[in-house]
Amino acid sequence: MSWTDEEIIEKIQDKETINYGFNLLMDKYQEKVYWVIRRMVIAHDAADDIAQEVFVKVWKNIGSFKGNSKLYTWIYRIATNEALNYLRKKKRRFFLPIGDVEHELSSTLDADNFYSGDEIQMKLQKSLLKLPEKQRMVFNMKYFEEMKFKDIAEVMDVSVGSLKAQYHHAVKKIEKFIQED
Amino acid sequence: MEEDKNIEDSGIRDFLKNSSEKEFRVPENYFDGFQKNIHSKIHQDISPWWKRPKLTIGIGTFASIVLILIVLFELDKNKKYARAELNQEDLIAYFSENIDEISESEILEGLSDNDLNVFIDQTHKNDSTKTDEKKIEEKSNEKPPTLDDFTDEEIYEYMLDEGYGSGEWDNL
Repeated sequence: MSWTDEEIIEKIQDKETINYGFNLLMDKYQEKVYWVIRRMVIAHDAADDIAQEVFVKVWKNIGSFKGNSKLYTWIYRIATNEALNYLRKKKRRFFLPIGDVEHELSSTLDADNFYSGDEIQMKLQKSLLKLPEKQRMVFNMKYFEEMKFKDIAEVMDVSVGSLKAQYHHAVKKIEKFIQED
Repeated sequence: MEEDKNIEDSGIRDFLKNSSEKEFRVPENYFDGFQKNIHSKIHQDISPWWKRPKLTIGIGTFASIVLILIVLFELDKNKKYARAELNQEDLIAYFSENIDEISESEILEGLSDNDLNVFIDQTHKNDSTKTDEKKIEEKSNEKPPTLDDFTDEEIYEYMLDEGYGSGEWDNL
């Protein structure tokens, strides 16, 4: 049985079924959240840590969730913020310029035991790493997660128009990178 | 869904046509244990604060620093009390009464080089003052000499020095 977000929230808001409701929420979103994060931070260990942190935050703040946005976009917003914070901290900690973060993530991709993409996939991933972080996030959510622009706009807190423009630019850049390499 | 078809990304889709489906993998059964990990993390977060390892270490360090500061502050306070409450007269009175209980080495330990130099200077001064006073006292106590203080020979020599012959003595 597939539970709707409304049903899950209902369970969570009832003290007697809160744990059950939270398990339902994790069942529904754990993989989606993990993959959004994983595509951003590349390494499995980092993605695992961040994904766990996301659900701990969801647990702590679910009481204050008013339902103004969809549960789905609310969770995604926490996940994307955590992933972007991780990348920012990484830059700050090692005093890395943007180009070096791309280089570092690219090296992680080469050495990752849990990466089994072929040459074509590797080429696409390395092209993606050349994009600015937010553009990469938009591309991942649209292309790989097949999310609607409207939902991505809600997650990223931008207008649908600017999001479409970002996606368009991202696609053009990636095509260019693929042809160049 | 119409809005989502506006942007052409077929170039990338064509590029990926001949590629395998999944590029990233996860460890086996990773998602089966995921919820368990979250629950243990949540439990750790809501466990009593004194049981959290990071917090315990932090509090321990803070307590040690506070303890060291208190000890240092108390030591300094004691020193101030010692200096403030005992004036020189009290100290002298105390040491005079208990001088037998204080060994020479303890006195030397308590004295700085400067104190010793001051002490030596003062002792020298006192000695020289005393000697001068003694001499003056002796001088003031001195009585004028009488003939009984001299021997006949001394008197005879003195007379000869003054130019008196032995025959002239009877006329004196």
